[in-house]
Formats: sequence, C-alpha cells, structure tokens
Amino acid sequence: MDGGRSGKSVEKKEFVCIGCPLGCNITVETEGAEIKTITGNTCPRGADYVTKELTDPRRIVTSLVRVAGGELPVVSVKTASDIPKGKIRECIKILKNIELQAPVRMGDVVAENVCGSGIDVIATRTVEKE
Amino acid sequence: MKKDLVIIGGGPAGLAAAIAAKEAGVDDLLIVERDARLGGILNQCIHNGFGLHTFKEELTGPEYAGRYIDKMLSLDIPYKLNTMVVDLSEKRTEGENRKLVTVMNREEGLYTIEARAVILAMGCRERSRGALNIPGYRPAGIYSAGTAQRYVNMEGRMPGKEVVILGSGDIGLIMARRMTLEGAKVKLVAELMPYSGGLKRNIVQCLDDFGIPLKLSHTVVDIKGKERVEAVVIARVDEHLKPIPGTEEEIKCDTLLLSCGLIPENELSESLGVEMNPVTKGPRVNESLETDREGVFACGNVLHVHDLVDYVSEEAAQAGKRAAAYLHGALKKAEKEIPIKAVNGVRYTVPASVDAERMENVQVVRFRVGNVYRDAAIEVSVNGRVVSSRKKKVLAPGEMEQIVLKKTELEQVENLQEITVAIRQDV
Repeated sequence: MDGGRSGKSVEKKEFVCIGCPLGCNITVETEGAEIKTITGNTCPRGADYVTKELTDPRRIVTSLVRVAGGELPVVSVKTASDIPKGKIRECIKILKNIELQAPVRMGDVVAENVCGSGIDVIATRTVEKE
Repeated sequence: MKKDLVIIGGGPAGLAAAIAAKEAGVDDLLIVERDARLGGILNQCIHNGFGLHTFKEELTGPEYAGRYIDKMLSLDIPYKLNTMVVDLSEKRTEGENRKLVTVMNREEGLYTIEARAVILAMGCRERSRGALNIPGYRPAGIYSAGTAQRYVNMEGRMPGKEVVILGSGDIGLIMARRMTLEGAKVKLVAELMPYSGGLKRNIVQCLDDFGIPLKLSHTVVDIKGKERVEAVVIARVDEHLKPIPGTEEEIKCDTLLLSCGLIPENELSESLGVEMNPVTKGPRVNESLETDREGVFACGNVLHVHDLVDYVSEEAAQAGKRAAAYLHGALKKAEKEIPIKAVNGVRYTVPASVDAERMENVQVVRFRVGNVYRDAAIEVSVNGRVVSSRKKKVLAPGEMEQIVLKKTELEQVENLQEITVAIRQDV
C-alpha cells in the first residue's frame, strides 16, 4: 500500500477479470473519469478488461438459434466478438426470432450486424440435414 | 477383433489421446464412443472460454471439439459411435498381457476386442440427488445442471420457468445465465460451502451480470410439491455444514438444478481392478499416466476432474504418447516410482508418483487444494528439503494448480525417497 500519496478524489474499484479462467483480482484507482493505476492483473488483457468495464463493458454472447430439418433442433451461436453488455437481451431476442434451414455450417453468419453493433452472430457448430 | 490400442471415450480426452498416439506411430487404434457424436460434453457447452491456452483464442465447446475432430479425421483415426464398452478385463496370452474390451452396439451386437493397450478416457458424471440426500418429495422438475444443459442447448427444450440452483459449480453458474437468457427466472444459487466451487470469472459473468444472488453457506433442506416442484426450502449452514434451525426460507420455483460436483466415471476401471485414488475417485497413475495395470493408461476427467479442457487435452496427449511408447517397447518398466505426497491442504496429485528415469525432462504435476488460501505458497520438497516455493495470492478448491518437476533436478538427488507438495501459509 502506498497510502497518503493519493488525493481525496481518488476512487478505488475492485474487479475480477473474466479474460481467462485465472480470474485475477484487479484494483483500479480512478480520479473522475481518468484511470490512475491498475494493479493485480497478470497480463495486459486484464488492464484492457477493466478499462473496458469502466468505459464500455462488453460480453461475447452465446446462445441458440432454431434449425428446421436438422439432426438437432437448434444450433449453437456466438457473437463474433464482444458486444455492449446493455445489448445482450436485445441480441437474444433477435436470435429467438430466427429459424435456419439445415444444413448449417460452423462459422456461417446467422445474423449480420446484430443490434447495430457492427458484429455478426455466427454458428459455432455444424448441424447436418436430418 | 484385435487392436494395438483402444481408447474408451471420444470426448476431449479420448480425441487428444488418439491424435497423440497416432502421431507417435500407432496406426492400429480405435476410439469407442457411446454417444451419437464425438466431442463428449463439449457438445453441450455452447458458452465461450475454451482453448485460451491451447489455441490462444476463446472458443465455444463445440468449436473446441471441432478442432480435435477435424484433426482426428484428417489422420484417419477409426472410431465407433453409439458403441458402449460394457466390460474391461485382462488375460495373459503367450506371455503377453492383453486387455479384453467387450463392446456393444446395435449393428454388431456384443463382441470383444483384444487390445495390447487401453486408454481410459470415460470422463465424469454429475453427483445426483440420490447422492446428496436432500429430503422431500420426488416431484418432476429436479435435474442435474448438466442434464438441463443438454435439454436446453442440444434439444432446444426448457426444463422450467422459475429456477433455484443448488451448488455453485461451473455448470450451475453457466446454466444460471443460460436459463436467464432463455427467459427463465433464476431466483438464486445456493452453495453449501463458504466459497464457490466454480471459476471466479463465471460468478462475474453468469451471476453478477444478471443480478442473480449467490448464497454461500446455504443448502436446500426441503423440496415441496408432489407432482411438480412448487418450492424449495433453503437454510443457512453452520461451520460443520449443518443447517441452522430458524434460518429456513421458502423459495417458490418449479425447477431445482443440482450442480454439486462431478465424479469420475470408473465402473470399467474398477471391473479391471485398477488401483484407485480415494480422493480423486479416479485411477492412481504414475508419471506416464499409466495405472497399476500394465498397458492401461488414463487421462482427462476419468482421472481427476479438471477445471479447464485445455489441461485435459494436454494430459491426454501425454497419455497417448506414453501408450505409443509402451506399444513400441520404448517405455521401460517402472522400477523406481517415487511417491508424490499431497500434504497440508493439497488434496491429491496427478500423477501420484514419478520415476526419475522414465519421466520426460519436464513433468507437470496437477492438484487441487481443499480450502481457500490467501497469500499462501505452494511448496515442493524432495526428501524433506524444500526445493521450490511459489507464492499465490489466492488458492481455491474450484481451480486446479500445478507444479513442475525437472528431470535434471531429480536425477541429482541422492537416494530419492519422496516428493511432497504442500501449501504454506504465513509467507
């Protein structure tokens, strides 16, 4: 601890990084909107994560889309990269209204530019015709 | 039918073991899988977070499995689906030890494969309600978290609308989010222990993100409803994990998911009479991931329940390589197996012993701790002398830990007797 040095407007926030299963406990000191220090992260991803959590929290969304005529009635999907956390529910809603026709190939685009995020939703498995 | 190598299980462990064995020159091999597809449990794990160590990217379960399945197919490794191994035994023929793998499927019926070596890769299964002794009626609406995961993610069906989850293992946490996203109301996750059994990241992104409460030191003491679950009663537990009278709270719900631990699935290992480790409930193996039965290797969750599939693949590849060495006569008999003792908070180690001559240059030893430790160190001793100490901010039972043993260092030790792995606090 380096107590005493900081001014009175410095605020401390604790995060658990979700970048990988290590789950580092990261402490961020902020002064207003400015990030002063980031400690506790094992790798640079941790610093990126907390910076994003403070400014623009994002998540990769994984879910399902219905498939007609396939070996399975659903295909698993994901957003190709993370989308704003506030849009998770809307994204899920859009996916619920889609029905694909088998076969679906891993990597196929299921929904383009989901919720205006600029990010596509892609299939994460192959579902062959029944 | 005769085979050099039979791999029991076509999940992540079986796939990685088969690939490694084939790459090491074993051509006469076979994967036996009881499900209709390869990939095992990864098929229903549609969430992301797999493969960060192996592929340096975040894959979903089916994608991770897909990488190995593609590799396996490109190597022309034969496999049988919808085929169940019903018995495993051994016999001595012309001085050579053979494993008898009795399998069954619809097309071919029941028959026995004679194998020179076997890799056990059967994985694990969930602890069921019966094993948990929860009082109350037996209505519909009680599922293991993994069963619910299969219904939702592969069959497109929802097990219920209002959910309570008992146990904060990773599958339970993942299912809390999944059920929420599918429109169910997850009321809470109750955890008997004062800490979660799952990964921290899953608590953040599966519970915190959706405002689902995690009640530590709580358990389900009653299940209400005759035909269908109508409510569960939860209560706080004391330090001996006994429910505290007066703390009961009734939670209305139609579904109870159980995520209360995984148990390696070892009926076959036991039918062969393999020596088991009572802590992991998996076979006891040496540095070559070989059981006490010659030519029988084990890897993945059948051996000990892993936290990350990446480590399963890594371990399984090692088993595949070692099985290949055995088949090629390049794995000399284990003569000086030095026990690795797990003490002071370390619950077990895999492997449970090493032979300094047989081991590779670097040997990874994996283990779990029995409690949450802060600012502790993982200490390795050889013949009672501390040889390494690595500080850890947090050690938790939900996460696997590892140490590394170096061949060059062990070979220098005179009269090597034992290796100990321990947790040291106040460091």
